[in-house]
Order: sequence, then structure tokens, then C-alpha cells
Amino acid sequence: MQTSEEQLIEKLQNRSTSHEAFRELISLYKERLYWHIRNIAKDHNDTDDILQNTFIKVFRNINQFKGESKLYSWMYRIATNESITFINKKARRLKISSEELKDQILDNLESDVYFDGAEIQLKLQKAIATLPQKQQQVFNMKYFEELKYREMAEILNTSEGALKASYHIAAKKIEEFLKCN
Amino acid sequence: MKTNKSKYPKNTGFKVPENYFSNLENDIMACIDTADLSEMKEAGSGFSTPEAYFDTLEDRVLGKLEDNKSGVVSIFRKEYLYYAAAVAAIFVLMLGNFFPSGQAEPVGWDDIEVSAMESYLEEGYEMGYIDLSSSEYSDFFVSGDLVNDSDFDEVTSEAVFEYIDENIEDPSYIME
Repeated sequence: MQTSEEQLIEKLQNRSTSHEAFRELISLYKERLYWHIRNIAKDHNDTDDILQNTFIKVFRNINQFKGESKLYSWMYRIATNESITFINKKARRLKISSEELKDQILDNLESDVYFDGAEIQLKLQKAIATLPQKQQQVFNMKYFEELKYREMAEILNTSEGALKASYHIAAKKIEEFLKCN
Repeated sequence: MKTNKSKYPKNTGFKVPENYFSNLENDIMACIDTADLSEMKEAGSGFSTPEAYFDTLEDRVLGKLEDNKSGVVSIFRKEYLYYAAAVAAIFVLMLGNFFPSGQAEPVGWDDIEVSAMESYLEEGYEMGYIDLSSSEYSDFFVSGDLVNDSDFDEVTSEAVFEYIDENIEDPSYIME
């Protein structure tokens, strides 16, 4: 008996049903992937570009998907790669480092019409930005996206133990930042 | 795995008691441990989206897909092919120098470490001396396929040297 995911993949890989299935796929995952990307890119317009690129990439490469991992973890990996690549590319275009770009985005967050967080959210975002890239991902995925360690392990290709340790360290660093700032 | 039942708010327009935030940090942080972070989660990340953003997303993505459908793949593959061919040629030439003529077996495409080529391309992208678009870049790496062996059948040595000559700033340095 096929699972609903297997059925969806089969429909995606069948030319006659792929468009209908793709629409279903977008409908199923658009919000999850959007927030996953948004936590990395921060800016809504950038997130929108990255999200669309991600889905297009999924569609173009679906026939290469062999089912060795879950479909969502494959899509999350694409979304993560797309996000990091987008930021690096944008920084290069602006002739600044990706770290400087992230700083700029954070500085502009207060005036961002699509950021209506209170001071504590802004402070939290600034705290997250102090973490190394991988810890940021782990923290965002666990704290905001509420993914299970098992799911995160599959997406990030890391052991659950390492992720738990990473999250713990990230949370401690954020607490320290919030205490001192 | 949850799909779209996103529970963190897209709009954090919560009302709070007066002076709540000015006291909250001190109150929470005074006895904080990891679990205390959940206090802040209720307010969400603070990010929001334009109204009805998700309602039209499927149509926009599908529309974009139609726009990009023709020719995209072939262009990418051609681009990759030339990058890969150029990089491979460089590695061949470097290998040639390490093993002076007379002692070495002929060096071919099979002698090129794919991982070395990938590292070169990745570094080139990051450093800006290989100009792939973001979608090209991740297409290249996500798909996991560098190039097929058969792709090289269509590339002559002359084409590779011509590419290096035109695209590498100082080919003589690399070939020395």
C-alpha cells in the first residue's frame, strides 16, 4: 500500500499528472517552506524569490528524486541551499560580505513593513544573527518551525545527538545575548 | 511532518499590558534556562507576509514555470559543460606537470577528481570568478550530477583551450 507521499511523487513524476500534482505539492508545503526560508533570508521579497526558485527546482528535478529520503527533507535541503546561495549572490552583487548583508537586513528590520515584531522579537533576531550559520539553522528549525530532531537530522544530514547539542548551545548563547543586551 | 498547519503567527500584533516588555526581559532572564525561551515563542518571529500572499502562490509559480520551460535546461547544461571542461582541462594540465612526460600514462577525463572540480566550481562561485546565477548554482549542486561522460564527447581540446583563453584571466599562469 502506497503512502500519500509515494502517490504524490508518482503523480509528480508522471508527465500527464505532474502539473496537477505540483499544484498540490505547492499547496501542501508553501507555508512551511516559506517560513523556513524567511527565517534565513529575513526579507519578504527575497523569501518570495527564493521560494519560487525552490519550487521550480523541485519540479525540474523531481525525476531525479529517488525516494532515498523523505520528499519534505529533500525540499527543505533545496530551500536551504537556495536561501544561502541567494544571500551570497546578493552580497556579491552589492560588493559586501554575506555577513555585512545580514547586518544590513537586521538594521532595516525595524522599518520593514513586513516585520511587525515587538522589541523582543527584534532582539531575538539579533541574537540569532550572532550564531554560526549551522546553529542558526538548527535554532530556527527547532524553535520557530518546531521540527522534530528526527526530521532535522534527515534534512541536515546530521545525527540527532549532534543537533540536540547544537540547539542547546545555540539557546544558551541566545540567552546570554539577551541578558547582556 | 506537518505541512501547512503553521502555528507561529504571521502577524504579531498582540496587545500587551503597559510596560510589559520593559519588565519582561528582567523577569524572564533572572531565572532563565533553555525552557524559558518558550515564553517568547508565543509572540512569534515577528515576520509577516502581504495580505493573501499564499492564495496566489501556486499560480505565480506555475506561471513562472511555463515562462522558464523552454531552453533552460539545455543552456544550463551547456554552461556546466564548459565550466567543467575548462576546470578539467586545468587539472589535466596540472597533473601533466606533476608527472613529467615519459613517465606518466596519458591523462584523460577519467583521471579528474569530480570532487576537486566541484570544490573548484563552488569556490569559484563563492569568490565570484565563476558567474553562475543562484538558480544555476543550486541546480548544479542539488541535482548531484556534474556532467555525463557523454557530454565530453562533444567537446574538442581546441574548444577547451579556446574557452580557457577567453575566460581565464591569465591562462599562461595556470598552464605553467
